[in-house]
Amino acid sequence: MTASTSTLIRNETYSADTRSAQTRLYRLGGVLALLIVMTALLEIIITFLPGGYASADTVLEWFTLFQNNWFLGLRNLGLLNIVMTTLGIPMFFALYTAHRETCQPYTTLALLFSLLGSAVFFATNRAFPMLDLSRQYAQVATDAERTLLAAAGQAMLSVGESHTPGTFLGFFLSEIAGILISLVMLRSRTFPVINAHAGIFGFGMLLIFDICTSFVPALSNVVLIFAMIGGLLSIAWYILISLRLFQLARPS
Amino acid sequence: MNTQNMSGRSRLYRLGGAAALFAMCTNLLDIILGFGGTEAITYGSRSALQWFVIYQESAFQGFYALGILNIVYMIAMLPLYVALMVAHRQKQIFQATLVVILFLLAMSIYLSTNAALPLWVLSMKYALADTQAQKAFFIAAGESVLARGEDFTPGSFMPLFLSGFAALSISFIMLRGGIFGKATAWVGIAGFTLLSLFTICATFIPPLHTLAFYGFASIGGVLALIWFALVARRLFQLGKHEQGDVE
Repeated sequence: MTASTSTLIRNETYSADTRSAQTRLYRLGGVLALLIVMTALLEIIITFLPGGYASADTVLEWFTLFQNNWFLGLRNLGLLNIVMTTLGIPMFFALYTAHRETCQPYTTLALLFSLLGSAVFFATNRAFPMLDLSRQYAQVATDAERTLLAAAGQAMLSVGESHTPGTFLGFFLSEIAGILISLVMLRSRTFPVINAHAGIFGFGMLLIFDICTSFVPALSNVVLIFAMIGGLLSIAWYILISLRLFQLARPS
Repeated sequence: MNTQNMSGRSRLYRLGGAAALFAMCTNLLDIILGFGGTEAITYGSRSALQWFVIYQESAFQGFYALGILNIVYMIAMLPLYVALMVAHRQKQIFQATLVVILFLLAMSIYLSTNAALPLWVLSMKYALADTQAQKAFFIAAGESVLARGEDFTPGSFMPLFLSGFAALSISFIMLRGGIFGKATAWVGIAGFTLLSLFTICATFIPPLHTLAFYGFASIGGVLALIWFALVARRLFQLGKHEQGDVE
């Protein structure tokens, strides 16, 4: 066997390995997109269950909520968002891989924004520390200790209460990433145009919702319509992505 | 496919150029506000209660002093770093990628620990509190947020230092890359070195803050402004060049 034949075989093996890895990544991305949709639906279902809309304003109300129903406390401080963000990382990587040959610079930028949004969201989420503080609060004996824990809880909430200025940056960056990757989709045509439009409008509306709820609380009720339409469009976006990634995973 | 990538690169260079100009304007605003203030802010010297008062008198002053412009600047820098990474893809892709990762790390730490927004929330709650006990625990919560995220205090040193280090590193890459002029690279190296020295002094030697501000930060800031302008101009040139190749 000559050196050039050996190189050729090596290159073909490498190419086949890359294709196989890509196929697996697309399939994984498709499955994860579906899991994100299911998590989002679960979030909606929980809201309509008895007590599902219960929330808290003050730190003491949060501690009480955690003591009465720790799952609801965690969920109201973004537990399901943690799940969706985690599932979204490999899914976004699959999208990056699907676009890297046609539109690499912008898809890289979108991936970086997405990773940044995830990192900021994880670092500012305070669901688990609040659970811990609420347990400590329930166990302490003196008022001084309770005041101390309440102050610590308030510091947590100022950073990590959903849809407040403290959590704005994490959501903002993730939504920018969603809009950017949808713009890439629109240009590359690897995904259907409707998929791109669903992403641009869906994440755009969620972005408006987050800006208003964080900085113009008076508009919170008015912009709920943006959250509803944006949420539905983003669910459609994930479903379409999942379908397309499964198609891309099929041998051509 | 290659044409699509070239066209994508052309747009990215233009976006990077615009981001550099935007970052330059943000820095310029920062310098103007820094010099225009009636009193120099020595970080770490104010209590949470004092910050609440600042926010109530002027929310912008509070946001500015706690680094909102740094957040805007960092978000603008991300497309710029990606454009610089793509510009150096042929000779120094690994070094440039490492710089992007470093900057991403700095940015994610900075954004998640910055005190500007959380302290604003607490100042509003403090203003609405009825009893002294409630006020006291908002102050305690504010102190906790400040300890972690007030600019130029030990709590926020790492992200600011890493961000300066990333800018310094990309300037060294420019020096060897041959895509940007050597003058651009040296202006960046000098400017970001001075700004990093300011970060170290302001964080760990508070008595030297004013001296470091006028000595290091003002000169470093001006050099950084020139660097942004030179980088923007070159990126627009590269964008035009790539577009010409596509056509």
